[in-house]
Amino acid sequence: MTDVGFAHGPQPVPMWSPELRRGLSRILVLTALLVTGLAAAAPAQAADNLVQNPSLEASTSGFPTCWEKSGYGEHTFSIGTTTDAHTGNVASKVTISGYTSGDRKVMMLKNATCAPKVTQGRQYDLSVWYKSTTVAAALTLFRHDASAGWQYWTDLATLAATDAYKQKTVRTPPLPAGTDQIIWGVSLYGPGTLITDDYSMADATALPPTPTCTDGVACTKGRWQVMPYQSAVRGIHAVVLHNGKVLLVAGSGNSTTEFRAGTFRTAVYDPANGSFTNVNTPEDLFCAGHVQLKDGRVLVMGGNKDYPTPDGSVGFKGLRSSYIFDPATNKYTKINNMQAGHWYPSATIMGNGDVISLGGLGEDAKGTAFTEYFKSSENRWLAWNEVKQSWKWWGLYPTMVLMQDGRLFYTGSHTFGAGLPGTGASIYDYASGSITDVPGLQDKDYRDQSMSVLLPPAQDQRVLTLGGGNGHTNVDAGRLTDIIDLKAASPKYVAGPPIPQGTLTGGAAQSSKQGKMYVSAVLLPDGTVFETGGALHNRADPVFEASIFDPISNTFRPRMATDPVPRSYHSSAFLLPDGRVMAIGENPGNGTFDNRISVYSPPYLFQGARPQITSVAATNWGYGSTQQITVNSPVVRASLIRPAAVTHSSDPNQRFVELPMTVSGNNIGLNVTSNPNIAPPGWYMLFVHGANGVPSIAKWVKLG
Amino acid sequence: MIRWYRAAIGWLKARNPLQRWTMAGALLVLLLAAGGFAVAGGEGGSPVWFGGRPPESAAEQGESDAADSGAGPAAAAAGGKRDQAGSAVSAPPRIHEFADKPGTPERPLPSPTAPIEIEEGNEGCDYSYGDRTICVPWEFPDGVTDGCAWLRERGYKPLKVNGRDRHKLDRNGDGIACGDGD
Repeated sequence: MTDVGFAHGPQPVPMWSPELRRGLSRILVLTALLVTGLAAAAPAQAADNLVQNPSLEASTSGFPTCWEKSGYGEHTFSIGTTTDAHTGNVASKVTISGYTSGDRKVMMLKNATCAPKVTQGRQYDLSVWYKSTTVAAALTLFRHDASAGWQYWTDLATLAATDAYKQKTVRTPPLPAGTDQIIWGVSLYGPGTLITDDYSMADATALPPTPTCTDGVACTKGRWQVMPYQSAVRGIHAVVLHNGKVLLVAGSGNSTTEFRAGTFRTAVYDPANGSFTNVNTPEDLFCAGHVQLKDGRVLVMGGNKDYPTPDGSVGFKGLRSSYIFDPATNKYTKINNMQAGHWYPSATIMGNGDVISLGGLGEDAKGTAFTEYFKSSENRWLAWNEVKQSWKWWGLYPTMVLMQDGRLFYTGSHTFGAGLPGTGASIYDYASGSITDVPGLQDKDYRDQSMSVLLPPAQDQRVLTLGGGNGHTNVDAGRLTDIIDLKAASPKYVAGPPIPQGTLTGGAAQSSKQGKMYVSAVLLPDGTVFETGGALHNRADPVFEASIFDPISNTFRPRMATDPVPRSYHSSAFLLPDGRVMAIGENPGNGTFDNRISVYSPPYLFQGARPQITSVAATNWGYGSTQQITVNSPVVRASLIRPAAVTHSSDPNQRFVELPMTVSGNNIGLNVTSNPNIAPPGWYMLFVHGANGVPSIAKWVKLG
Repeated sequence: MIRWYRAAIGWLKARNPLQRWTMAGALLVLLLAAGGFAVAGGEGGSPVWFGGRPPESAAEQGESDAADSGAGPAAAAAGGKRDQAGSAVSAPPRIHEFADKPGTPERPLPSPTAPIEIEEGNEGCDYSYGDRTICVPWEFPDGVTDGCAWLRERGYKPLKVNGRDRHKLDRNGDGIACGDGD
């Protein structure tokens, strides 16, 4: 073959020679293979997807490998797979009819191979594609504790009904201590059909920024500031209002002089400018009960009808009166009387917005065994024959915490003397009238003016009870703490770590067994609990000690800065919307009253710039909804904290409600619990915080 | 391989720079488009890692052999703490059957026929000393041998005795506890 072209100089190359076509086709084939390879390998995400068999395509014995059928309760159901898949040919399908209770779900297998391995303290983005004919579908997690085994953890989000495949992504809170694996799935808990497919799970833990604190000891201990002014009234009762101000109620303020003069006091304190607005106080609301209603007004019940007789043979008498304080007008409005007088009553808001009040002393200075029920929709206390009576006397300021199923947990924390007969703690079901003792509370007769809190988050249903003494026998107050997990079938308190030791007046260190009563415990927006104040003896010997309890590790961070002002009897501490803690009140046995105000800035306020909630799409929130906010910097957690209504170391309504996040840059979807018993209706402080624990200033939102 | 490669190179050399850049750009766009579709394409922005298909109609959906089913006991009456009724537009509350075996309930109590007596000194104060806003402890802490000294250290002033003197704080009997001479 003669190479004519070369012989005669360069010749034009044919546009589509066979060689060129073959070469181009090979390039295209290689390109296609490359693209297909990239797609099939899904290198970025598939490698990070911690879910085994995420698309349910692999099968073992006719069911997706690494998945199982799960559920409990009374309902008719079918559970299996369907070809109506989001991708591939297999999806899970659950149908419920004839529903009474429980749930049904397809969950990851609880074994070492199938359950995703995780690291405590880290956060994970969970995602699932689904269709559902009902909103009764929740993303449910179980966790494996290295020592306690598998256990239910939480429900992160409610899934909206959808005819077409939709993706739901939600981020876990930081994983509790001891967690080494989790499993999850979508629970159907009502009539309907749920189809799920294409699960994914990826580590979404944000690294905390490099610490920048330059404030010395405040970086680790926080800092107290005593205000340069004093409270206008004796702050025996403190209620944080949804306008950011604080209602301080004194009534006669434990002063017989004021009582005889008919001088009863209330003031609204504005922490922003230090101003006090006096409020006309129609009766002696000293030692009343109080709680915010779902519309933000404050229900006040009972109070002081009379002081003890001069020889002390007849004690304090309780009022039957009740008032509603309106923050919009700064006025009390009288409503109907309760069935009996109540001096030191409890007040717990229920999931439907009604209020149950228990305990206290009546108009005759005897114990009041009436259960009082405030019906929110009718703005009145029900008559005795409208209320289911247990006829139990619950003592004084019994701490009654609302449980996730609407029952009340009496924590054993109370005011004055010994605990109730029995174990000292119990579960009270108002609906059935049943009362069942709960075991495990240590030294139940020495928990006078201890304090109990529902630990963050409320979804975890754990209660911490701290300290306490016995003002009657006047033994040294103790360091005991007890923790109960109300998720257990048979809950019982277990001993927690002892309260760290502090110092007494003059700087003397407490002995190893000395603790404190008159404890204040405050839920902080970073999900920890600040405890402060207290005294060793009945209205004497203040203890200077403060620490932060971490519910994830169940440990105290000791030796926080201590309030320079003694805080014993008639003292309280509570969270302000700016993330600081305010402390007020001190009424030792010598009859004096310290009206100084202290404000504590926790260490998180010294760790750098605060994230800001730059917008909240709506301020009226519904249960089971996803609410949109924007922030100005990355955040790792969001929460609703119910504002304080505290007196005598008792605030049973204080709670931190987790808002699992759906994160898209600085746009955050907040998944609100569907259960009003987890977050009773009312105004809440909405906080977010960054990876370094620095919280935002709260925005106010109204739930329910 | 070599022949088509040489042919392609030869063909490319024969193209002018504009034509070469045009072809390179077209190839790049093709690759980017394919990659972009693989990463971000698909329903709702999901990655299309595997071949998908549109959802089938309900009539076409079939349960696999893996389906399981069951029926619980007869439905109990709704209401009380287990009531989970909800509407189609708002989620019913997700309530768990936690703490469902707390133990044996206390026996129901009858309506009280007598007042519930409160032990004197329940508040920890002996009000027979001074004004009733003063709280002389009902019991002094362990180890206190001189009640008046203990009280003075804590800012108490002399106190009028209202009747009895349980703590023997009025040693000289002048009606004033922890006063001069006590």
